[in-house]
Amino acid sequence: MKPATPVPIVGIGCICSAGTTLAQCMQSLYRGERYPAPPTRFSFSGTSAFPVFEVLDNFFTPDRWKQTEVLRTSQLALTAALEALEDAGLDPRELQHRRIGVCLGTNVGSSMNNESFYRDNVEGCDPYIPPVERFLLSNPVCGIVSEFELNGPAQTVVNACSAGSDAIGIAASWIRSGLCDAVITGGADEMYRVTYAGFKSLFINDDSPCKPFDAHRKGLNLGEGAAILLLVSQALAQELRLGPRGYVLGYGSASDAYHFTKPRPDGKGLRRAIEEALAAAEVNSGDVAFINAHGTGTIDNDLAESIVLSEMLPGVPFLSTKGYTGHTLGASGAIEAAFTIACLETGRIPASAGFSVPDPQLPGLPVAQNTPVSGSVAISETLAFGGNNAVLVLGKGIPTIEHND
Amino acid sequence: MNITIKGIGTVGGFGAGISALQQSLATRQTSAQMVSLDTSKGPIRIPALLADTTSVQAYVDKRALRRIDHYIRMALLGSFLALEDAELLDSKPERMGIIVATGYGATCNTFDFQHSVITAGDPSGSPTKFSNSVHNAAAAHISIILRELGPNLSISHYDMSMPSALLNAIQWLKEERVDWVLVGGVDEFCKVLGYYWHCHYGNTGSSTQATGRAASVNRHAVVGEGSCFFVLTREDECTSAYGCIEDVQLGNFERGRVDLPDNSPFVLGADGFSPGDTRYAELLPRDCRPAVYTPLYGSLPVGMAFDMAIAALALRSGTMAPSPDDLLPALPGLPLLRKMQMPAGKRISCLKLGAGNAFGLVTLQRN
Amino acid sequence: MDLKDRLKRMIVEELNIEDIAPDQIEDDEPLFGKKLGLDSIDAVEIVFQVEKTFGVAIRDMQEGRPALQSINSLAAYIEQRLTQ
Repeated sequence: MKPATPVPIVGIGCICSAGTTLAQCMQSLYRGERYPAPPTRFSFSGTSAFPVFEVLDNFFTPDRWKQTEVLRTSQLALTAALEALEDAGLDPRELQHRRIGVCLGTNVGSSMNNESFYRDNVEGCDPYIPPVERFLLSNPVCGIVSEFELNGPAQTVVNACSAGSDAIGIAASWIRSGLCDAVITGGADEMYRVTYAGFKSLFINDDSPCKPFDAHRKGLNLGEGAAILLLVSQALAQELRLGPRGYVLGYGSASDAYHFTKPRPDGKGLRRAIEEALAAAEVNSGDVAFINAHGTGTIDNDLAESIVLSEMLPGVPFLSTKGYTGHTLGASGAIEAAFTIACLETGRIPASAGFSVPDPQLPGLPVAQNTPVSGSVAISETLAFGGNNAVLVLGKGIPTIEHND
Repeated sequence: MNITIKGIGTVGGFGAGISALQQSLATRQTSAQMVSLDTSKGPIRIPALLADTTSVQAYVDKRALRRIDHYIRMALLGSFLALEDAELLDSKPERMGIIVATGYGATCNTFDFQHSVITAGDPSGSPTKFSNSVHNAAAAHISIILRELGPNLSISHYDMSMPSALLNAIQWLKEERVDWVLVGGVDEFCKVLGYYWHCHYGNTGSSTQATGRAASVNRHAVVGEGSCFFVLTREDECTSAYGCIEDVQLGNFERGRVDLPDNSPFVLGADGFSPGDTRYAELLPRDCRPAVYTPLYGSLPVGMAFDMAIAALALRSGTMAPSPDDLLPALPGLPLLRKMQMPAGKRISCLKLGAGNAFGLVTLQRN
Repeated sequence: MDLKDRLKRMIVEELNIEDIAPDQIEDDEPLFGKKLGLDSIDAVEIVFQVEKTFGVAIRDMQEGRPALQSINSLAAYIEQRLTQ
């Protein structure tokens, strides 16, 4: 494998239950606030309610996106994309007539997973929205492409829960190879009855607020949200004088090749993904300031992850942010990459929410309170259904060099 | 450096394996059959090209297939046939990535699970169905059955899923993340899609009364399902008879340029369903006489995978087969390659104009 | 057909176990042993099928685990819940 050159991240947007902007999210994380509640977006009998982390309905999107046909997943992605462009100080019109790619991870936003498509079909032909129209309205990548009138590769990654991390890793490779001048990347997923039912059927929901890495953890809580990172080439960063908030330094991914719903107990796939990402970034494990772990709160996930982290990155502080956001599925890798950059900026990581009682079976434990970290490199890792593991090595932004020309 | 095609495996309405695909190219006949479906509005009959995956049992243990549905079986069969064609079945290569493209995903399971969730008072459904409906289920099962720990990726971007997947496969090989990639497309027919076809085409013609061969139905689209996989590797010299992937382009043809290669025959992904079908004439040179093979495998979002396989077979044999006789979509102002074959030359491009004015262009080339 | 036979048939059919007939499953043999080759996904699938077929809901896997030991334990659990 060839070492990877750093790819600048010049703008970030994030929306989830913790807040509707990245700054708001970080504020509530550092304050230890979290808002799990029974789902409001679909009906169920009171007895079956598991807490979830929903985004407040007053989040900002342009009115034209609020027509009911545009899927909430797309609205969330667009909101985060607008924040990312504003954060970069970039007029969206600057993106036109350049090679701008879009690469996002999602589950609900992929072509036929949304419920209305099925309802259209069981309830009759008329009015009927054909699959192609449905795709254009529901897919967050198509939404962003048409909103900003982009021309470049557009791609939807559907690697289940690691899709957001995979999308960012792919986006960085599009920049490095010269395929794109910039890539709008990240992930988005909405709170959705079908995923809720699916996780319920697998018995991996916690009926109380989730407790990642805690001895009494019982499972995950679902969440929703989106995060968008604007990656640009060095040349475009210089031309438009865009200062990096951070860098994608390395990406690694590997399969467990083990079981379609259970993580591999020895974490072999996760190990390979971490090794690949560190090697690509040319970073030693000793230089890692902290790890944003996947930490869903399920018995098996947290155990496998704790074993791998304690062996490969001993003594490096880690946390799970799922206690603040719930598991946002295709968005989680992107939301956590955004948090990771924000934590590198402030030099502090929040307490791993929900963790209080150490589990004697876990060789490594997360931070129990807000903790100062030093260093300019951190890891964000995600594990997914099907045994996908995706790891990003992210770097802190270097203050912009002032040009006098 | 070249990205070469070392093996192709496919299953569809034409049968299983590249020999079945070649056979269907030679006869120029679609093998679409009438399929009966029960809907809320009563029984309907529509033409479709369906895949038979019985032969997957030659490669995968029966018990391992226990929970594996038709969608994943199609992907597995395509994968094993591609590895077999590349002579890698007995010694699976080290450092292999797996990329699966799908436009619709596991439609039958997805809709079944949705049905039980929507009709039950409380959200509830089968956990096995839910797990198999997740969009990366096919790629996950391929990695589990092949015991492949390499990178694993699933792309679902409707009719651009296949060129997107290829773009990543090429990046992985160029970055030397992997030495081999198993990449392919899979899409499944289901009742909901059949119903969609019926709503759009079934009420205006004779399809509801039609019996026998679908070719008797005057339609320009027929629903298909199947999978088509490729084994790719990185080589200094392109030694494969199938040629190498010279170029993959993705973008928007309204806002940007499509860089068409000179002197290349074209295979078009026009399938009678796609909104881009009417636009090919604007982009292509007037006298290029492109071929359209969609009637052989049907309309499905990852159709470009089949066009690529047909292009690779043409490069190997040196001749491009004429378009099939029946069910060709109407392409105003663009005469197609009909009745006669023509020399394939050294290069063939597959072009798909898709939803939202997106385009995908894949050019294969051989020495 | 008695409850135990119905359960055996349900397991063989719903879990697609093609190489074992319902009557080859012993009442007291472990469901999650080598012979049937079942795993964690099958466990939750059985829970779903039991609720669908018999209307008996198993709320969590802590409650479900002892019931899922064998055909005997599963039948006893369902009978007890149905008579409650």
